[in-house]
Amino acid sequence: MITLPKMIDASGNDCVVACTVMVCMYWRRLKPNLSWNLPLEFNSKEWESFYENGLKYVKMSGMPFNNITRFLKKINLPLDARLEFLEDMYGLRNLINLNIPPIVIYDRNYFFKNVQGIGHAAILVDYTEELFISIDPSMGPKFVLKLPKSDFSEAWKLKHNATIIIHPKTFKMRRIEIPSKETLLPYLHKGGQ
Amino acid sequence: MAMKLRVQKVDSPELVAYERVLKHYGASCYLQTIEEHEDYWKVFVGAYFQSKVVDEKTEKEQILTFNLPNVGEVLVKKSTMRVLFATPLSSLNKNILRKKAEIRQAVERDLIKLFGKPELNFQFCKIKYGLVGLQPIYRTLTRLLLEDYPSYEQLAESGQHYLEQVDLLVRTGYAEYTKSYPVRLVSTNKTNELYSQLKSIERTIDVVFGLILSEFYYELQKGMRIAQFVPYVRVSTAYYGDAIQFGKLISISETRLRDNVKEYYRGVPLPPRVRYAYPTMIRELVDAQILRYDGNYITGREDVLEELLYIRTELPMGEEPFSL
Repeated sequence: MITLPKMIDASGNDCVVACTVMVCMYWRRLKPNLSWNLPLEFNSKEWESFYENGLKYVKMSGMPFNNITRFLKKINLPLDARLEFLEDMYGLRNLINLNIPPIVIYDRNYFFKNVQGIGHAAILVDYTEELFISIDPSMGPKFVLKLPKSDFSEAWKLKHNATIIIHPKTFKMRRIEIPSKETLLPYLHKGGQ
Repeated sequence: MAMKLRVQKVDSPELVAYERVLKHYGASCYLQTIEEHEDYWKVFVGAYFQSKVVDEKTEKEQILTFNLPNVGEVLVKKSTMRVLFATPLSSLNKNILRKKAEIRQAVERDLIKLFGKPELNFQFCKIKYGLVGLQPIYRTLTRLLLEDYPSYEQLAESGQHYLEQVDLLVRTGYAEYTKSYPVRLVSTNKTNELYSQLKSIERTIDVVFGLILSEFYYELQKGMRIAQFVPYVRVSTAYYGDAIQFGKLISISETRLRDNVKEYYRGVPLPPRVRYAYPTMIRELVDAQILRYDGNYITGREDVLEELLYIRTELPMGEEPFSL
């Protein structure tokens, strides 16, 4: 199980920034030897202003992913952020196994009420056979929300399995691109694997 | 450390468009429909926005999600599967603001219509600052009710703006010019009947003001540049707009009401009166029976809200409101 050092309470469009900062704090504690310019004290002014600065990048339409990379670059963190559309939930499981906390974008309205709505960000920290354990910034003071895999899968699929992965720059990630069904046959004919 | 990551290839128009949406707009946006054209797909983008309404006295909150369709579009070229064109973020935000403004305008328009209902007994004469802009109507109507009928020349001497406002009295049927020379402005039977019913010059003026505001508010504001009533209308709209969303009267502090005005009229400069004379303005709105005090909080009128509540059914809500 991944343990996040600090929870941040946020709602609305701020959830992506809160998740990003929580994951940065996680890496700060786990990889103290990287070149950090933020302290290990997570209640410090520096972290507070880092979060406040992130909120400035939030637009009415949400937090554009490109703004997350800009915001991380601005403070020169030793982390990379990438937006990926994972093939399936195995990818999430693998990330958690590698102690990389994935930030998932899923349709939480659909998850709770079967009505499509806003894309919501949460951090997955553990899984069992039936469910994922998420840390949801809008679920304070406990922040933990258990997501049954079958329901989560549908709600995540509505957002095309969008996942934000934040990891140290030193990590190498090999992407294997799986074509969509429409292009799968020509891909296999060309000897794709 | 190295790891393998199996990801979907971005090779379908939905995914290309959604990647663009997440990278450039954010997760509040969603893909609506895809239209196939000869060499590109056009993907229409909608947005959700959440609005939180708070009753500070009972500490209850309601969150409403509005669904705003068609705020942007992404064109995906078929041959390359790349984005050919996408609505820029600034335009998308403007479109969201415009759609939000449409909701606000619906509340504002209907609230202004209520000003013309005499049975609601609004007392516009208590809004002293508002009267400054409508002096020509106020003074002329007072003269007519005192049977002091001014000649056309006398009115014209006061200037074009004066005649323009007097014309509103004529257009609503509360005054008319005599046909014989010298031409004079006289009261009509409608005015005299109203006065005999109400038996008070001030009440008669209240009713006529209400009718003029309900019919000519936008003409006064945009055509004649009479803006003194604008801050009062904005504050009232911001209060009743939230109460409509909440579904019943709410009690909020002056500070929160001011924040609501900023949020409701986002993109529009805050009127100076809201910035500099806010407590006085709230007091005038309470005196005019548009808002009420509830201890240290501001609240509204049940009968006014009842007349406006139907707007709730017309709001473009993405889901049922939920309470916290």
